[in-house]
Amino acid sequence: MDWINVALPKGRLGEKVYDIFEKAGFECPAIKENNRKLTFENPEKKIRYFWVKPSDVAIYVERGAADIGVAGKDILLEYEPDVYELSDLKMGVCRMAVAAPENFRDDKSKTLKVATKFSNIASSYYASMCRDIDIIHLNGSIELAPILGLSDVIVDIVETGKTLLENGLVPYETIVPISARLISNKASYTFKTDKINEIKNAMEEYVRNRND
Amino acid sequence: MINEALLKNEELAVFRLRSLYSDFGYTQYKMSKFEEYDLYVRNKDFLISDRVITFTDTNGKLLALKPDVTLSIITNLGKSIEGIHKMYYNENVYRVSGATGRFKEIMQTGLECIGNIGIYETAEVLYLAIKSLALTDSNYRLEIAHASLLSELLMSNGIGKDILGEVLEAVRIKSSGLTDNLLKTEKINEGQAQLISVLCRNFPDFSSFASAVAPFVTDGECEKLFGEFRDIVISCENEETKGRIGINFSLASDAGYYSGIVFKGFINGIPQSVLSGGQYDKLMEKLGNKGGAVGFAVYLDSFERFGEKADEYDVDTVLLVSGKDSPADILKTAETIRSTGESVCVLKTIPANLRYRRVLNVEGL
Repeated sequence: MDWINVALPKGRLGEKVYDIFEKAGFECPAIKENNRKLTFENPEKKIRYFWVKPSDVAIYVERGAADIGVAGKDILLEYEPDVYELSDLKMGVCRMAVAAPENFRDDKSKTLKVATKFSNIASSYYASMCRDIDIIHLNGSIELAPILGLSDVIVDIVETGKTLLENGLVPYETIVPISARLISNKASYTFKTDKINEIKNAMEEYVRNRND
Repeated sequence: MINEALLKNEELAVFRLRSLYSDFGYTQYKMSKFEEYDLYVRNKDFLISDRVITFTDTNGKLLALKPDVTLSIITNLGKSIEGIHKMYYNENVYRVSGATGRFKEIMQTGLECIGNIGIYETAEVLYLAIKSLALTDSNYRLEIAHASLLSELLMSNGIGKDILGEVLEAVRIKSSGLTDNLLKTEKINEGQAQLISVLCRNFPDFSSFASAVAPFVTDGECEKLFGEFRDIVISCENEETKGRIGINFSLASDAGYYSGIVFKGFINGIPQSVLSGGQYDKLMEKLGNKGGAVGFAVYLDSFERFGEKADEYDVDTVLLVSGKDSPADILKTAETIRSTGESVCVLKTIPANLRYRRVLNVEGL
């Protein structure tokens, strides 16, 4: 039987994601040891986990370094990796939204200035509404952009809306709901269909029981 | 004589594939690297990416480095195709790589069967796709779907155009979550959700697919397309291909210009598909040609790193020479060593990064 390589997103979400793998019967006790190792394996279950930057999970899976992985829907929409999106794990739930200062009024006679980390998602969203926009790509502290007049609105992930509120912004429109997804490399799915389906089904069952 | 051990994976594959296609009566089609840009503008829906490298020729015409081969072959055959044309090619194409978003030169070999094609010709092309994979590695798999059968299955089971996009997306990415959402929002019913779930699955052979999809094959057109699909796939199933051909309808939901069968080939150890093809009658129709067409391409660049074993040495023997050694002696000595099957590099000094098995000088032999 072949090994399965799993790319997990580093950080709090990754730890929760690993818990699902563990509860679904694909444990790897070494991963809970407090050290700086990045790869862990359970030879008995023939499963190998490795921690990667959350935004890199899809790259590892698309390029076949990992057979499966867990990535946010935001990353999948932004980078459009050529992978299967097997399951919605219903965790890390938030939404991609347009936010703006409270007094914002969309002046359709002008090009809308949009600051975002998610240029592809923002472009597609406004293109679907035939709205002319000017994308300002930022890598962090997006909320600053409208405050300093750099942009009219921002497109960003909104979880509770608290950060927005503290910076005088309000969610204006929801673009798409976001949550963590189990993804698979297409070639790996072809050659390891049964094993990947076994993992997927066990995880889905755990998620279903947890949510009931 | 060609020493196969020296050939790169992709070079070896080209030799073997050319020989295979010739054995089946396909003739080689050679073309220029350039084509008028206008051809691609008119047919950009057909291209994997609509971004093309362009330049202006000395006569002012806007040309493009070929991003695709099939369009040129069809155009070259003209609008009134008589009989059946069987051709293969081995060309470089230039297109944007999905992974990097940058232009890449891709070595591509493939074949096209164009004209008055029927079930036999389609099955033959599918069979050649299987043979092409088998020639490159024994651990291969070909996944097949049928674009028209997918559309008909969805329509005849009451899935309307208003939600077709969402349903095709669920099938394309095998998303059970998307199907659950469609069911939860009552855009589809339980039966339709079951059909989508069947279409999201991979089947190891035609018979397991047939059993799962049978309850949904309800009208005459669907039965006809199902029968056509069965005849094509079953004619390629034999002892050699057992366990190597699977059914995967995720391919058909992203079929674009494909109208009949669609297929992709994989080699275990290469993380993306190495072969892709299908029946593209819609493109023929759009270009004003009568008849049908079926073909595939093998992406040889995928083989570059496949089964890679790093050579321990760059050269077996370094023959260290000085200005005093006569050129005739050096050539003779080197040839003597080469006659034993070793590689020899004649140098005056050894570069720091050269890896070699041993060092000799002319007198040392």
